[in-house]
Amino acid sequence: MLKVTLVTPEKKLVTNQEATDLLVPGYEGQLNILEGHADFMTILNTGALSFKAGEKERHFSVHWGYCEVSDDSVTILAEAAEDAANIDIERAEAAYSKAQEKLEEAGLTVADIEKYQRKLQRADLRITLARNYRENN
Amino acid sequence: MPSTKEIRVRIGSIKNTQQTTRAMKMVAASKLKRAQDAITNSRPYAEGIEKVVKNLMSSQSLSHPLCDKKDLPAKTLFVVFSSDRGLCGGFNANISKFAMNEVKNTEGEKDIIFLGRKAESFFRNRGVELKRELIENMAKEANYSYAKALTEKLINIYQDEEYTNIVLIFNEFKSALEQIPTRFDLLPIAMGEEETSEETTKDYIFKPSPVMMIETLVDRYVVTQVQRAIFESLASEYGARMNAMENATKNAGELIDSLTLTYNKMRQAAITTELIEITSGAEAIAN
Repeated sequence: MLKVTLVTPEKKLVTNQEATDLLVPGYEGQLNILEGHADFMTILNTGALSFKAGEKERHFSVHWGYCEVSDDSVTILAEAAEDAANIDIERAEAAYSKAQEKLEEAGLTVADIEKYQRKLQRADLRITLARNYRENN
Repeated sequence: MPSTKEIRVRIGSIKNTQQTTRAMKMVAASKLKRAQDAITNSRPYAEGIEKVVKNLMSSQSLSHPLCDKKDLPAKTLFVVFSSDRGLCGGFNANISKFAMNEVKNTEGEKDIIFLGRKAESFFRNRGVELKRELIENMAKEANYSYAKALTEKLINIYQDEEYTNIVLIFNEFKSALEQIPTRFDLLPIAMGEEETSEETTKDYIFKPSPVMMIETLVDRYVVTQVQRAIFESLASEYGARMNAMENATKNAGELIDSLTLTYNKMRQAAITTELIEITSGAEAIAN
């Protein structure tokens, strides 16, 4: 059994939850962490994080994080994370179309483009997660 | 001697004031609760990041531009956290005096950034001349994105300009009754000697390399420190305001009591005089 802890600067989302089959958005692509994994440190990108807690599957969106595996206990410090069950789909859709509108404007700097693309990516991820959650529950 | 009517009007006006202070106290109390929760909730993340950064730095003997002392004449940037609004007891005065002292006792050139207008006007009224007086509104709520934006600004200033130190000055929240003005040296990051715990000697697999990891982690570490200062300062402000408003409510209550007593005495005296006049008049007629 893995012991998963997921915290952000604003709240604790998961504390020492017993889990199996953990999927994290690793630095070089999706990582599957199972019991008995080697001690490991990595940086997480924007992406979906999920694990199985008993019969239940839980999904989270994560935007930048640090992940440490040590003796089957997994600590994830995420800059922002959200439980798929709590994602406000309308808000995410609004954010998505707003970012898209901004990207179509003229005279953006490279930094601006990167910023709005990140926003677009985040909103997209949240929409997908929330939709999946609604279909399955 | 004021007339009974004047006293009645005064009692009414004090009652209004008391209602206002009581409402402000309750608002501050609920905001304080939220700010305290924010402090508690932010702790695991902040402690986690701090541990990783320190462990990585010492075990991999890494360095980072934000940790190295700059080889330049001393120039300090102070960041003073106060509030935008008053009516919070000694909160702003204490932090401003403390900041004034710290600034005076620091060698070399120095500039200040004010968060919250109150400390800025304190310095302005005392005619302290400083080159940079950037004023930003204080955060309204304890949230991470405000801390992040502020940190990015500070790091940019530190990297692009010739500041050798950045110092935060804020009220540390002990309890609603006690706030302690504190100085915290933000940049360069002081790493301190970490005891080499078992964990640091453990063989970890790193992905990406430790050098690249520290790159992103150090920035986040600085953010958590700034966040702490903001959260502590906000909690202190609400604590101080709650306290000040509670005292004001109590004082208003005492004032109302004493005025009511005077009012009743005067009313009684007036009635007595009237009665005496009537009885003596009646007696005069009977005689």
